[in-house]
Amino acid sequence: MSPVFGHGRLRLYLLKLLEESPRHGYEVIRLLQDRFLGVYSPSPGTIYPRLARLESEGLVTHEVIKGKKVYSLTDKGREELERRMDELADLEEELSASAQEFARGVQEDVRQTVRSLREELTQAARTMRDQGKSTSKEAWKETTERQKDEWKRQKEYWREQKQAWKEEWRQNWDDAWKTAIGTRDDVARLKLERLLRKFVEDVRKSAKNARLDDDDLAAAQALLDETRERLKNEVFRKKP
Amino acid sequence: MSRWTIEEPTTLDFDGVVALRVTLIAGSVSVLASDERPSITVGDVEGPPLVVTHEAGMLTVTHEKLWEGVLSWLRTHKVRAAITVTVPHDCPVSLNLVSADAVVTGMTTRTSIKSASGDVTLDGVAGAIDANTVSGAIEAQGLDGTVSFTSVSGDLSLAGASIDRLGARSVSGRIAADLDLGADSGIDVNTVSGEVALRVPESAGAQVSLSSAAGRIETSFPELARQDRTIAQSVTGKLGDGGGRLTVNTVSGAITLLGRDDDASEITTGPRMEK
Repeated sequence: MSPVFGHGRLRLYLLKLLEESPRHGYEVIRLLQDRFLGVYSPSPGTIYPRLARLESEGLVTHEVIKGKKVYSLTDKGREELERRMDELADLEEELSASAQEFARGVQEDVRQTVRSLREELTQAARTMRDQGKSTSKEAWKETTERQKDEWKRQKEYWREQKQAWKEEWRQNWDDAWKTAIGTRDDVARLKLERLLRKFVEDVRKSAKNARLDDDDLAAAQALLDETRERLKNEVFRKKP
Repeated sequence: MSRWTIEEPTTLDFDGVVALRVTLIAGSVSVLASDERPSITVGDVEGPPLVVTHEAGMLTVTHEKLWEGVLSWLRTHKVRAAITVTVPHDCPVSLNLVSADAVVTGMTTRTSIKSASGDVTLDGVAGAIDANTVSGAIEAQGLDGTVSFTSVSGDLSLAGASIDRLGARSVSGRIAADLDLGADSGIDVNTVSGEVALRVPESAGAQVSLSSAAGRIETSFPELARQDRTIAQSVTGKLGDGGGRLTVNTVSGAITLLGRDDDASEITTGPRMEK
């Protein structure tokens, strides 16, 4: 039911309309529309059951004229109307304000709607902003993690590199030392060491750009074995 | 020409009204579309009487002698009235208000409202709609047609509308709107420091351009590209088929563009009065 009618007020107003003259249901609806400047149109579903109820209470009665039910007030109904005269005066006053009431209702309704819209949009914007923040945070965390790994790797590499240089440097130093003060034999041994190192380096270098499969590896091993055997048997054997 | 001078609560009705113009300083004016006889209900009048004229279908309501020394009057008098007008829905409406609130519902042709500090409420209004306020809020739902909103510091809120053209301008007022974006509809929003929050359907098709000198720009549409330049940042791109146009410019106001689930119920389906 529309807020233009408080509890029991529509019933009272129906009694008043029927007191003025007997009317059929549709006419009652028209009169209500007129009374409310057309902004309130009660549906037949609102009015007919109420008329039926008033009738069952004995306040109104109806007769069928030209196929339409025409309602009129009974004495009992008139009595009730009499009794509620004060209330009716109030109602009249309220009704004159009803179009204004309706406008106020519209204003309130729109106000509530836009307020909830505002809240909804603000909330959605906030959620989105928070999400944006957390994703960027995650991304940041990930990159830092990656950078940390990279840094660790670099550190390790340089430590190895340093170790290698240190070794090489000591080797060179030993070599130089031995060359300066060592016997012929020592010097020869050093030179052999250098030849061996050079040999390994050269082989590594030439192997680097070549394709290497199992057969190549076997061939290389055979050659190396042969060379070692020959060195052992033909060169080093002579000097016990 | 008919003319009434109204000093106490009254209801008048008229044979036919083809246009309505109301000028009011304080109080409230409600304009309701109705199929019944056009009528005016004056609730209460304080200060000088209201003058109602009806000439050749033109219905005018104004304060008596309004333009003779308005300012001196405002200082010395309380000038207010509460007016409710019912007119046919196709009647053009023009309201000029100072601090009076306005409610307009159901009109379909042309609605033009100017107000200084009064709030403006529109419900189910169609056609050409033009609302201007200085500090008053403009709140609307269920609009349809060409809409122009302007305010200095008043907030603009628009809930649920299928709009051909929306132009909204404000200096510091916040703008919030929930819209349906039609194929060749255009939306233009400009503010200086006012925040802008817009929501359109996820499936909307539009060329979008959001730009702000200092405000933050957020959008839930991932297909829009962001450009940060030294003088301004902007988010631009095409949504869907790019049929409509959506442009927002601010100086320092934040901009938010959100997508609405297409099957989610619109916010307009709030509680409404039984008519």
